[in-house]
Amino acid sequence: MLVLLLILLLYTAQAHELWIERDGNLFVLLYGHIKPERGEEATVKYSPEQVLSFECLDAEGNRLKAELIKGYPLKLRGSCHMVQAVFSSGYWTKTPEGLKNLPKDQVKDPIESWYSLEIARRINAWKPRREPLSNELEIIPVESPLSLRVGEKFTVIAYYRGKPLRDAPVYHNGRIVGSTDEEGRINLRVREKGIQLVGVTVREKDSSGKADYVLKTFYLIFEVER
Amino acid sequence: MRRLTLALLTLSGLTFAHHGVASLGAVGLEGPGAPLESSSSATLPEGSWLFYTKLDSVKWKKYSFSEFPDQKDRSDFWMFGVGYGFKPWLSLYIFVPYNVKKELRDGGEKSFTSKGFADVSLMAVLGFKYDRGLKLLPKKESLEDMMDWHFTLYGGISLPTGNANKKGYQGEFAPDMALGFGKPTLTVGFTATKQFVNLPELTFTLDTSYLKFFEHKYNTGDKYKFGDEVRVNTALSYRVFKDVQRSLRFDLITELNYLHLQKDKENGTKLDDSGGDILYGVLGGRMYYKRASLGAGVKFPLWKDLNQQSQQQGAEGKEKYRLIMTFSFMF
Repeated sequence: MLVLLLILLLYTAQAHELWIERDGNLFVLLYGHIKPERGEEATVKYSPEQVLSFECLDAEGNRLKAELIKGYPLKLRGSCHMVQAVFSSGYWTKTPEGLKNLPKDQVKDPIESWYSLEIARRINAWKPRREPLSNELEIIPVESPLSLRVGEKFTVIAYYRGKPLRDAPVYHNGRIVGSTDEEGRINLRVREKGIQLVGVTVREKDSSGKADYVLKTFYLIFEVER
Repeated sequence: MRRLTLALLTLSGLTFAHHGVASLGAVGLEGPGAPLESSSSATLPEGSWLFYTKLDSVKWKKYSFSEFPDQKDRSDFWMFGVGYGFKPWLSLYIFVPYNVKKELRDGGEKSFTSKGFADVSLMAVLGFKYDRGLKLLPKKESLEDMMDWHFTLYGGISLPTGNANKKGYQGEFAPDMALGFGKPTLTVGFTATKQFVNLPELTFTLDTSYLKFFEHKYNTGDKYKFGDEVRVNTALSYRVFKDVQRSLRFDLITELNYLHLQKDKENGTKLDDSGGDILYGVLGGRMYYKRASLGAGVKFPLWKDLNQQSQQQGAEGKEKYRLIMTFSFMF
């Protein structure tokens, strides 16, 4: 039942995805639909205030110096092993009149509300590691994702608060492909060249009183060239 | 001829059938399809129960009553089963068959029907797969995992719970109208299933099995051993429709089923009017709705090479058609 609920959340709350594209040493933060369906826009313009951080990291997750290029879309120039962005589209509340981008205390007759928080991490260089970098929601690949070829399978592990996240639905390039096992693992397959976007969502209680819960989503991003 | 007919009729109701497993959630909607007659490589999720029902309704070809005064008319082989997933890689089943066999006698002027529960059977299914190496089926698989090669080894035994000495028309000795074999039978089998990565709507299944009979001494003092049987089945199922919101899916199914029957033995002597080879075709469909699965199809002989073929009526290979229906529900 919980898995079904989380799948529904992924479908409804995560209507958009967050990802990072690369052009040499330039990393571009994009928001929208990585696999747009008919009638959907590939990218949706966001405001700079929605980006809580956009950082260049080494393989251990330490910050590296990089040039942040302001404007839309937000860009980062640097030699980064990883690039990570934290983004929030704010508070969302369901009402009888529809979904509103406001906290529940600012709408009439709130039905359900949440605060959306999204973390996108792009891997550009691989260093094997068995533990998450943070105590937050995270997905790490078991083997190097950068040497993968189209058709090959790979395994990722989802962590939450430092422990494997079990029974969590996992999203890969536009579709739910299953849920994590007891060790937080799930096997995926590269189906096409280009950007691979692997996502997982958890729901936390909101302590601010402005929403019923916080929806946290983590996106692991890497690119397959062959 | 008569003995062959009887043996085959009874066999049809005993065939193990652990296919058509209703699946859960996204796996059910997007995972591999299941054939109608062949066994797929699906095992039951750990801790899950499956209720299973199958009807194999046979309409026999009939010939001139002057040549065959006694002819088989119709047979309905029901199978009721319950399965349980002890481990992701180990499922156990119990099957209870119920047979209804109708024959026309005395030039078609009279009819005789034998019906009742036949031999109960038990079966164990061991599931494994190839995913960067051979391994037992894990507890959880993603949709991509479901597209790996999956295999099962299965084995079963029937218990002589049916009445093997049940009399036929006007009290005659008629093992073919009886409800059991009098002795256990053994089955071993292997299945392989592959959902295609680049065409996930399509699933291929291979199912091969061997069924071993043992000689039974009837109340009349006659000893009889039914011929062992080898099956090699292949199937393709193609998902033509799915609706995630309504948890609905529909597959089209086609199968080729090869059956080799050894000759029966009566009092230690092989019977020349028994045994043979048959190739069946199956066309059908399967609908999945939430945790239930309903399958239906028609099975018909495409080719046969039966011993003393022209003298037979009511033997496997001599069907007009077989109507197959299955229903399974998992919880």
